[in-house]
Amino acid sequence: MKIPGLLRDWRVLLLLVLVVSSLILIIPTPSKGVTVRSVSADSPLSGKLAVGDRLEWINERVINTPEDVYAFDTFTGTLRFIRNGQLDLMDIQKPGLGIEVATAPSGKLNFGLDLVGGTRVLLKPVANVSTSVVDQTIATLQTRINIYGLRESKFQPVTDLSGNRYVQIEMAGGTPKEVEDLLAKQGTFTAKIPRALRLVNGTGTLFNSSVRATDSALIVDGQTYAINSTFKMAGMDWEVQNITSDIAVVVPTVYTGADVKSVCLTEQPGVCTSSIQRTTGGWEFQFQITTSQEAAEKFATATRGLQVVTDPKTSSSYLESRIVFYIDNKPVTDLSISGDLAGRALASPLINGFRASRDDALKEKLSLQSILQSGALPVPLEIVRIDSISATLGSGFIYASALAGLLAMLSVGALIFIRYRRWQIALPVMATSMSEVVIVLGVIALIGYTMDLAAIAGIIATIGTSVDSQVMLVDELLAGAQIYTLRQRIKRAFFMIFGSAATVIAAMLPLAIIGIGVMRGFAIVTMLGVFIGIGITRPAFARVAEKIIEKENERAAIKQ
Amino acid sequence: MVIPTVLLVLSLAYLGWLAATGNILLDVDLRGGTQIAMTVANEPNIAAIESSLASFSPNVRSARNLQGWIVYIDVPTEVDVAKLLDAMSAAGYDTAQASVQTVGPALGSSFLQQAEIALVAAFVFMAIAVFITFRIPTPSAYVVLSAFADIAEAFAGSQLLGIPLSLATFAALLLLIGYSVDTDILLTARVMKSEGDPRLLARKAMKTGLTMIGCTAAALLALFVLSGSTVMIHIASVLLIGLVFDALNTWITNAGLLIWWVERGGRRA
Repeated sequence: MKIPGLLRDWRVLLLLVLVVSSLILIIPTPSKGVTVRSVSADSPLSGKLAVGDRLEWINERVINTPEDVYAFDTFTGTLRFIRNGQLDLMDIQKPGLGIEVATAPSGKLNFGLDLVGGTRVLLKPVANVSTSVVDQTIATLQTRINIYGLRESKFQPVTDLSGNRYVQIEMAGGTPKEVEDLLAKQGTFTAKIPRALRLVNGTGTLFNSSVRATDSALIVDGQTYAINSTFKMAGMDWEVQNITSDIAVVVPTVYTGADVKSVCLTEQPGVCTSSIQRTTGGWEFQFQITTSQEAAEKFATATRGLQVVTDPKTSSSYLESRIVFYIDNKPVTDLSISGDLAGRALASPLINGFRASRDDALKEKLSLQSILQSGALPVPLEIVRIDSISATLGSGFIYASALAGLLAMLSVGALIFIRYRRWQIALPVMATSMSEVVIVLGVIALIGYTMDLAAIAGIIATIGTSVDSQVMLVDELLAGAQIYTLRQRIKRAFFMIFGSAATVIAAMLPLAIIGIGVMRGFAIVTMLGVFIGIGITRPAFARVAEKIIEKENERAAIKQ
Repeated sequence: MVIPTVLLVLSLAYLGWLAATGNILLDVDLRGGTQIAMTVANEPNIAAIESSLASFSPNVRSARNLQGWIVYIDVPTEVDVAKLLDAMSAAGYDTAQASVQTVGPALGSSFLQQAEIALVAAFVFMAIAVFITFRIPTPSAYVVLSAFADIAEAFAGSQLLGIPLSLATFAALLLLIGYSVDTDILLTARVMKSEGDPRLLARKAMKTGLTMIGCTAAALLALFVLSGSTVMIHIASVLLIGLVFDALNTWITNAGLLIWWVERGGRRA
């Protein structure tokens, strides 16, 4: 074989250059350290570390795996660390770093959720909404996720053919439960303080108004309100909750989501509270929110005149009513109100809760903080699809697909060898298909496209069309009508190759445009493979095959 | 010619019957529902899993992969996944690494509708590409007819074998449009663009065509055996079924029609 002659051909040269540069792009290079995937809001390193930072060294220890970092989860004292090549330090007072890290990505290939594990959610606004509402929804959800510290996540508005709008979120972690708690909640916040109205012969007073009760309704200022209906008084909405012979329970709303000015995310002694502590049987969390002055005044009004009860054991005093916090009309926590707060404006109420494990308490606290800080979504969302893929299942697919690809290539090579009895043909066929796959992977890495199961299926489809084309070419060269020259035969073969490539592209085009779910990636990768095939690898293969057969014919002529 | 015609008629009748009775097998992503996948080390006992999850009315399948087996559990959307996983844990399975996919029924049917549009559009585009390639209506129409038969028969065959229609198998059917046309183009190009006996040309083309089908089938078999993912296995099966029918449709139907047309004085390029 005249290798130097072939190397002078621009088609072959282009192919080699592209294969080598693709290999450089996709072959993993050993790298040091781990990448930060999340920093939770209450992490002591919050503000020092950001998602995507590389941690290489902590307190004399070289960091190679996530476990090396997690070993410092119980550490207190001065933490010295090298972040993106720069030394930094931080005093850790309480154990727990509150960060999540992963092995630093080494190759440029970006593996999809179904291969590395993670959660993908498709949320649909319950009503028909405009693009701006979708954008606003995404902004709100982003705030929530950032505060919650849920791993790197990707947000994307999606519109289907019939014009339905969705929000797609991809997260490297996160359980379906977390998604439901954090993202699918509209997050309408209210705080209410029920008030028992004492009735004498069916009448009582609320502030300066006289109230009369019937069996199923309350008559306030001459207006009748049935149970569960609301009336306005003193700037608040009051709900009629229950009526008995001597008591009517009315519930004013003291705070709403719009009243929340800020949420305490990290404990600042003397300024605001945000903490978790051990109590009997579990963990208690608490954090403060700051409300508008107007809302604080409502608190004062709603608590005015409430009776004070004293706990005989602890001799601390409380108001007879508790404050109940609701999210989306579901009670989240209820707290007793200290006796001295009656009638006073409270602008920084404390929200607390209790969970059996520290982890659950932490998650609950973070998700409440996220929802309160981000505010309510402009429209309720409904989860229409959740894919939560475990990392082990995903990584199994990578190996299996690579092995399947390799076996596919080998069996095709074997079949070609059996058919033509020439390794000079079988090897270039395998090399051509292999180079097609390498270049497709290189392009995927270059444009930052995500490599997922659908893309793998597309690559395998590429191998199929590639081999088909090469067989057409080889057969035309070896067994084509003798009246044509080799060049003419190649031309005839390329007529068929272009024809079949055109049909594959025609068949994949609608899928690539419509973009239903993951199958869009399949169509795009298949089309990419076909373009690379007819543009680069198959012409180069034609040159190689032509040379090989030319050489053979010459040898045959000499023998005669 | 009789066999392919009968096959096509039977396939269309079977599909028509499935569609009319609403019995087309649909996978979770087109029907709506929840699918749970977990990797287990030893061969799972499907019947035992089904009985311990009886209250969730599940559909349980398994697939072998390199690490062991994957158990797939399909349940309706209303099922509380947390409870189901608890039941699996109680039955002794490690659910920490379970993958869960939930698709709402409305989204599923909207996917299905879009997939149908994609299929029709793909077929029309392919037909246009074929007509542009050959620029002679009758032989082009034979190619399109052969591709149509492939897809209808592959779809009917996969349904008969219990492979549900999903986004993945839909993509496979679309790809089959591209794949199956390859051999028809080879046949038509060889017969239309050469001088001589069309029967001889078709027979020579068939040798090439069968090599192509053999190579593609070899690659797909590798995928079928090794991938261990039901998505991949479904894609490979649909394509393999399609390739078998493609061999019949190309080398009997299309070749027969084309030779008949040329011998009746059809104009060659």
